[in-house]
Amino acid sequence: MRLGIREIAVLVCLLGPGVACSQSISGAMLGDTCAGCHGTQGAAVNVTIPPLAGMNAEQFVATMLAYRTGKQSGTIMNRVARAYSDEEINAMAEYFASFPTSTSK
Amino acid sequence: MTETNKRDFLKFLAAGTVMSSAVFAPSLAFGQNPAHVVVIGGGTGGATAAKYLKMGDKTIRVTIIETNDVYQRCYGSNEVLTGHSTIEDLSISYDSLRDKYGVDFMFDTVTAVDSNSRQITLETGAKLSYDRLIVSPGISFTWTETDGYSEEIANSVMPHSWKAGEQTLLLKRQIDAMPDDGTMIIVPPPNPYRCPPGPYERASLLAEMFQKEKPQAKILVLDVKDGFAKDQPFMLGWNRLYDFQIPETKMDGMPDDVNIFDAPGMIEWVPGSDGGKVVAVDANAMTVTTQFGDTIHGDVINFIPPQKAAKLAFDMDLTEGNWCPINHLTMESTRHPNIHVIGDSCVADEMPKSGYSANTQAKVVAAQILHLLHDQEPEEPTWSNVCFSRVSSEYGVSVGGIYRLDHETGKIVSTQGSGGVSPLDASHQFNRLEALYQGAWMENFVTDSFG
Ligand SMILES: Cc1cc2nc3c(=O)[nH]c(=O)nc-3n(C[C@H](O)[C@H](O)[C@H](O)COP(=O)(O)OP(=O)(O)OC[C@H]3O[C@@H](n4cnc5c(N)ncnc54)[C@H](O)[C@@H]3O)c2cc1C
Repeated sequence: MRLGIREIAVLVCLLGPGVACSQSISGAMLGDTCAGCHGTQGAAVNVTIPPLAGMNAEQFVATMLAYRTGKQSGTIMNRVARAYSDEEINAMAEYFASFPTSTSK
Repeated sequence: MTETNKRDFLKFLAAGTVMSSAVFAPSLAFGQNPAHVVVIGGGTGGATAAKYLKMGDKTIRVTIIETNDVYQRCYGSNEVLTGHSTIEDLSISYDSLRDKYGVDFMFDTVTAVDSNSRQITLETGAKLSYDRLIVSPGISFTWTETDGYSEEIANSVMPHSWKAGEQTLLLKRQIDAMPDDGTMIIVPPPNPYRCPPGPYERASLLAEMFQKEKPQAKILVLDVKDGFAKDQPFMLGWNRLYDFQIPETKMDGMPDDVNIFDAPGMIEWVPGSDGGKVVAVDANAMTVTTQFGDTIHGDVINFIPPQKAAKLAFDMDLTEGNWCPINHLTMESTRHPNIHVIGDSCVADEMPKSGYSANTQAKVVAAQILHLLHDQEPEEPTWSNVCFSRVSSEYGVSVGGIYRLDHETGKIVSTQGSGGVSPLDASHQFNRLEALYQGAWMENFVTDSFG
């Protein structure tokens, strides 16, 4: 029997804990990698780099897609946006939208 | 997939996580007492991990054990050499982690860890136990690979300035005392090492300073390597700002308007294949000797030695070769259960050894440890690295990468089709913005890591 990588992952999931079963990455896991530049949970203290906390989800998605296609040019953001799927961009959008905007803190 | 691959894959997924360690590691479900996570090293990786653990679950106890009660960051230390900032600017207090996030601190040095009894011994003799341990101890140096070089020489005559503090100040004093037409030699280390673009950013910022203060000075970079992080964007900036002649091997993709010079400018870079490797130094004569047999005098010699995991990682038997192998799903050591290694000391495959990498590794380890303590499966991880370097105070270049776990190999890989360095056809405004973002990054990054 030859198993693909997915089937093996499922098999391992059935075998026991300690295994990441799903390939999909949570909004928090994705969003926290942005925090080094955009601040913890998107609450940047130096807003030369835009804060993401409390950003409207649709606006976040539209901006990321524009960076990904190159419609909007940033500096590093075009290179960063190309790494993410639609699903991942949506998950990040929801994550950041769930926090109060930095100024209201 | 072959049978062996399949077995390796299963082993990778199971290795070191709950399967092997639940037997030994009490989870929250077992104990009445709150779980205790100890973090050794309150540097970039350790501080971030402690903060994100507490953010994720206030009820667990998190203790950082750290030698120094103030952290001296390396990022920004090149600006201390140029006088743009002071050594005090590099100091970060632990007050916020303690007061705002409830992290406990012990300012002491770990001398031994028993992974069976999960007991830590400190230099003062105190002992401490943990449920899970995170180790982020940084780097140490290899002193023995170059004739005439030693730790004593580094501390007196040829500073590396690759850990911030006394070393930064020593190099700064030498640079300030250098004759106006003096030569500064920078010897970058072989890969892998902490902050791959660091030596070249240092050359850049010193060139900017020398242009104003010592316009006759030279910076000679004697490199063991034939290329380096962001080399083309750096060289393009050097060409525009410091009359640097771009070598033929780096011309690919350069814009048409690069300058051609017939004499070397302020910065000269000698790659390994042209004899850049330094094989010996003479601290009395203040010379270095290259692999091709040239002996060169430097008024200042900034020798940055080869690097390896911190001493503690070796003492704890966490290393194979020079670095600490880990299961990348959980960042747990493949050598000892319940001990997770992050930051410069760990093997992180395609990720560079940077503060940003250490920071995102810390977030992954915090998330996974919280899952393990709650008897949950670890989640799918992701990491990133972003690094802005200044070619001058108004000209920045960057590199970025978004990393994922390759389930087939268990390695951390860069997401295809994304990331990379600043484009060579970038506008003036683009590079101006990247210099601006470097400053903003510094502030936001320090706050994200240290509270
Ligand atoms: C010149 C320069 C510029 C840099 N610029 C950047 C940059 O712009 N961006 C970037 O992302 N990175 C940069 N870096 C890299 C960055 O500083 C490191 O990659 C980062 O600090 C690694 O974090 P760490 O947690 O692994 O180690 P560290 O931050 O070094 O922390 C290790 C800590 O562990 C403690 N420790 C060690 N052993 C023990 C023990 N036995 N007991 C108790 N405590 C112990 C140490 O005291 C130290 O505080 C730069 C580095 C240099 C040298």
